[in-house]
Amino acid sequence: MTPAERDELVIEGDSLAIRRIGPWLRDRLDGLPADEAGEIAARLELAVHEVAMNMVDHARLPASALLRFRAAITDTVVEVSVTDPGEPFDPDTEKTPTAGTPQERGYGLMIVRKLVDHLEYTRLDAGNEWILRVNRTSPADPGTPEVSSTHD
Amino acid sequence: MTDVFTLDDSQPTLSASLTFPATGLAIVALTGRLDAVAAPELRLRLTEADVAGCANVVFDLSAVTFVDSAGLAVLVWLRRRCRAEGGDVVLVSPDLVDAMRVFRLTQFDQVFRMLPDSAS
Repeated sequence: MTPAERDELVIEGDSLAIRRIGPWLRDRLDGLPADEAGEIAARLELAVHEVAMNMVDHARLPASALLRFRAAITDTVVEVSVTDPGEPFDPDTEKTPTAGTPQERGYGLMIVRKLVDHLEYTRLDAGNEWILRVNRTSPADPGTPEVSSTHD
Repeated sequence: MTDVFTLDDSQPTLSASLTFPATGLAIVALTGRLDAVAAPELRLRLTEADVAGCANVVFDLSAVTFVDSAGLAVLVWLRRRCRAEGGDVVLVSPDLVDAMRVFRLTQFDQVFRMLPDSAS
């Protein structure tokens, strides 16, 4: 894996390709202390996986669409950005689950919100961008962040 | 009767072992990733006659390494079917904290009856 490939993962917009997120993230976090890397990788793998699956299932991706993932690590946070060339995300279509009443759909973004410390959505000129951020000194039981949304 | 099968050709994969220790009871032991790739094929397998005839299903998730919302959807779908027939779905908790996390975040650990290990 070249340095450029380590920084950016580009995959086809299908569920099988999304399985590459986990190995890529773990490779990216290789320089962190093992315990911290394992905890952050597990949280981010599931969160990024759910965002990517949301794109595949709901963004009406054009044929041969590519999903792009970039990771940045600072002293305080690990941040992953995910972009797709699909249609805008509409939060009004989100089916928020009711506590105690299991349903088959609607858990994806709920899981994401509980896994990350910051979640941001931006509508780009021709696509969508999600930014997921986890604090390096992460609490053991992360709370639920608000989703900030902007439109270009 | 034991039926071991692999649900897709990619790596890492999901394997399932099905046993039928009593009439109307199926035990489905999963190993690997219960994700959006494996979930549709697992659901299809669970509609086949041997499992569809069981109102009670135990899902042994102790060897599952990753569970996503698509995997949870299979469990909810099967729970609804079993309950409509007067039975239920019981889960054996994943051994891995990382695989268990999604059940805690969604409160599925309070919705489903979850056993700490298969011996329970």
